[in-house]
Amino acid sequence: MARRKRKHTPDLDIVIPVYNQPEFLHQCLAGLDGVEANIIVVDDASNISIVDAVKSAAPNARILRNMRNMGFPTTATRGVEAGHGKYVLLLNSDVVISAEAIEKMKWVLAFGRVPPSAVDMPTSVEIGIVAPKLTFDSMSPHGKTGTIQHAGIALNHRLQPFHLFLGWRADHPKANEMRSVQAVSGACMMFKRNVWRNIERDGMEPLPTVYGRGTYEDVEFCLLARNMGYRVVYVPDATGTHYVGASASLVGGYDLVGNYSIFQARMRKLAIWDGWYQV
Amino acid sequence: MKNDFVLVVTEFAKIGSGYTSIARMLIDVLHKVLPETDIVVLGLSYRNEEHDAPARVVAVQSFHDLPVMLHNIFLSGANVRALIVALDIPLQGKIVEWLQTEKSEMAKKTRYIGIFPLEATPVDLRAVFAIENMNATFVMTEFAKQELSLHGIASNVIPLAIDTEFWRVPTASEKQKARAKYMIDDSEFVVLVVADNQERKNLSAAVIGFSQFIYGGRELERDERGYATSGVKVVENVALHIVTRVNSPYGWDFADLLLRYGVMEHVVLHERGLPADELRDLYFAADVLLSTSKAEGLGIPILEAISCGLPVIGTKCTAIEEHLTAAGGLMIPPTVTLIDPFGNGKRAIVMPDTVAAGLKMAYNDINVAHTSRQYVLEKSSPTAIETFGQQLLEAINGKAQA
Repeated sequence: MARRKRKHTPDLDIVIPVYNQPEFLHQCLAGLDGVEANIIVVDDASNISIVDAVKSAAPNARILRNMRNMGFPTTATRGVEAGHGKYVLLLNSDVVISAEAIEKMKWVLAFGRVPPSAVDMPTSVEIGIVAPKLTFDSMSPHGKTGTIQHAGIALNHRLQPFHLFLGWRADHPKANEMRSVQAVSGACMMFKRNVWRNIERDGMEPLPTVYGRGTYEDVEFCLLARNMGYRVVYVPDATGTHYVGASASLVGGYDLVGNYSIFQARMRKLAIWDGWYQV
Repeated sequence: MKNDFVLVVTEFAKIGSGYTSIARMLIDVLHKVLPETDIVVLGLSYRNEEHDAPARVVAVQSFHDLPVMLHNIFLSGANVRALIVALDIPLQGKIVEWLQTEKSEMAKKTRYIGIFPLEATPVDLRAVFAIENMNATFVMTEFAKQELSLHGIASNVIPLAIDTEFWRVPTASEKQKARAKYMIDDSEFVVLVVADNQERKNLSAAVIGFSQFIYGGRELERDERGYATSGVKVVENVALHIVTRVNSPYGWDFADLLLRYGVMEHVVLHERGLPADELRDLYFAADVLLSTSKAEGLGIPILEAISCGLPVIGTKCTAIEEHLTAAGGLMIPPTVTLIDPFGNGKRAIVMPDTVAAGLKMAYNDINVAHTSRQYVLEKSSPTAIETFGQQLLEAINGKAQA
């Protein structure tokens, strides 16, 4: 009797929450060509069809659809929960990142040795979350093309998250050191599924829905992970581009002021002021 | 990551702040004399812009955040070798006061080195209190050093923080190009003012003086609002370019001032915060820099102008007098000198008629306001910077100033 070949299941899930803007989604998916992963697109009740964009660029991707617009935290959570991979890449639909960059991130997550930094907790050992260097997309109105959009997130002494090296040139030496950071952007972050599960086991939401449509949930996720002993690492060798804002669940908009107030109150015991260590 | 550093508190705005060039010089010098020591800068006005300074710069959103930031740093377990504060004396006074309430051992043992300008005499008692609580003092002019010595306070003078390679004499074609950029024709006489729209800069004397220069001091006919309606001009082809905070809520209403004195069509207002290249083009395009300040602690625009080979007309007072006595230029004697009732020290006030006379002299013969670049070159020379580095190192290591 011939032995049945065991179907190879990739150990990486790529979760892409999306709201309208199918052209960006198509570009994002096309960039993932060659990546060995389960791609899960979660449509947050777009009022433009995104099906064709998915089918043409990633025919094997799964599409989940929210019945009504729920916002980023809920949508992303649904996508993560729908997967089973050991690693999860949470990816905005307006980010373009290559298979090579994804492999680099995965390697650091699995095997990376990064010297500890002042922001690491004394008990931190294992790298739990990584993120790449993102530069502004050529069409982005938010920043000069090719300059840094994301190189890790630090918190100032008011516990306001800010993007490190925002707007700096991409090859600036300071922005190209692999290092621990307190947080990274949910626009493109890869994490071990165990991090997610451990946070849930603790009774917390990894991407808290208290933030409504979104903002600050990615920072809180990182802080919760750090509190459990995981390290969050910025991987500058892995690069991608980000348009910024195109993937937002725009229904209702963002409540930046209100969310910051919530974030401060929730995270003040977990967050540390690290602005002066980082730039 | 080294946990041993020198902490600097200063302005670190990309453009528009005189302290930024001082900060950069300070950082470079520290890096040279203490290559193994980290430099951390708490930068007021810094907005996380790209920089290539050999230091870690942290944005300070507001001066009122400083106590918390300093408190956190002192409690963090880091070894702060020295705290160097390059800010105006009133702000330094506040920092000194805060530090006196700091209970941490690190705060108590960290040496405080102050770098500040002294814009006028007499030295305010609050300033003396602040200075006496510093471990070492650096000032920006010989005038300041002399003044402090009268109070028994020893200090050193820092070099001029002027990038003389950037602020340089334009070539003929650069000057022509700059003038063409602002559509200034060859025969036009251009007066440049670079000053904030605040009381001390006495901008009204500059504008009214310019008006009197144009109209030969004659009375103007005015309408019911007080705006000039007509007057006979004795000079036509002149312009006044002012780089300032145009819409300051506390300063002059320029629209009103220019209409009142009939110079609207001769004046160009440039909002402060110009990129350095743009500002330099104005220096290149101008025929003379005019400073009507009542007092100056350093006077960076004057130094930039001298470095660019631009003639200068300035009030005969404090730092302006020190620079123009050494470098040349035309000094306008103040008509009134008084002690400011708000505790800011002496104010030397030039009147519009003397400003007009100065402008007329320069218009007829620009050589009367000629300046020598050698002054700036000497005061910012590698030797001067090396001396400063040694003095700074001694201050950090606890050697008393002579």
